[in-house]
Amino acid sequence: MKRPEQHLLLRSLSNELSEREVEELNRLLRDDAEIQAEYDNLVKTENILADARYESFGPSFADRVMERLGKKEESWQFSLSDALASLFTRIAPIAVAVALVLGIYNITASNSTESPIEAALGLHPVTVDAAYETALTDMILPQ
Amino acid sequence: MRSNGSTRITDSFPTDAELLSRARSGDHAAFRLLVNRYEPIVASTVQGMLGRGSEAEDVGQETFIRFYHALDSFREDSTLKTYLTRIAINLSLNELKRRKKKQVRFTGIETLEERDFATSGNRVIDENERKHLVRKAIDRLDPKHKAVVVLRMLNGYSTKETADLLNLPQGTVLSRLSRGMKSLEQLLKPYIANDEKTGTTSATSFAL
Repeated sequence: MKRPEQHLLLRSLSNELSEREVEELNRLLRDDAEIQAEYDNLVKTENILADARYESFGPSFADRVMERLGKKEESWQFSLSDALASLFTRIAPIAVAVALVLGIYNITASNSTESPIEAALGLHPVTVDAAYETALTDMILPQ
Repeated sequence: MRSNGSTRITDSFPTDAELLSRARSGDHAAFRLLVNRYEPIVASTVQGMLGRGSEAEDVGQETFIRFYHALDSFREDSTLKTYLTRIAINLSLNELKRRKKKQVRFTGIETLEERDFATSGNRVIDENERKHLVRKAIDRLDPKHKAVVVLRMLNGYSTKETADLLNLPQGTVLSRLSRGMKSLEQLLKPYIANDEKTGTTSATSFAL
């Protein structure tokens, strides 16, 4: 059987034919025994298949869906906190190393009057002179 | 979960749009009603593709969970039935691919099923057994043909709707349907002949 005829038969099963196509199909069925036999087989197979349709997943399916939804969202929240903790443990050593390098650099670049902590943190020396220089000259007496 | 929905569904038959709106605002009862309403179409699609079992149940649940997470983005330009069928058929096809890979590693499974068929004996089979054998026949189809047979013949979608759901041209849908139906005719041929005469069938007459 040719493909257009086969397609015509298949489309007739779900009433998709135009009036002209219905006429054509009727003519084919009348004139061609092979097409008539093929059509009969299709219809029988269609009838058998209609019985095989599943209708449900079994009792309480909706309950199982709702339960799984609840678990999924809980596990998503847990996984977010886990991910943050894991990220922190990876980033923390790197951050400490960078802080150490910067502290050592500050100590080596500082003058000897600063305490080691002030030098490491890059703080201005806390003395009367320094306070006068930074506060009064920069803020009260701007250039 | 979204906030615990306290709204009670009092309407006897709320529309999909109503239920969607309530579900979007966190009403679990409304979402549950949608699950109940669309379970048959999802069950028909998923179990038609995968058969009955825990994998099918899992895919069915996953279909609704994906729908739940897409509630806000779901636009009502397609019907809910079509939308859910699309999710269900895609998940089922993925599951079949996964299953195929697994079967390559464990080739003994298929042989056991065939032996199971052969032991039915030459006797008249009842309605349930008949359903079971027809479903087995569907299960034997190539996944591409099976998808078209399930959507067109079991779920009642038109050729165009099936083509849209599978992102295929209509001609391809009809060609696959033709091959799928031919395979089924072959598998069920003796049954069809027997059914014509007596309305019953013999289990050994299946070409499975």
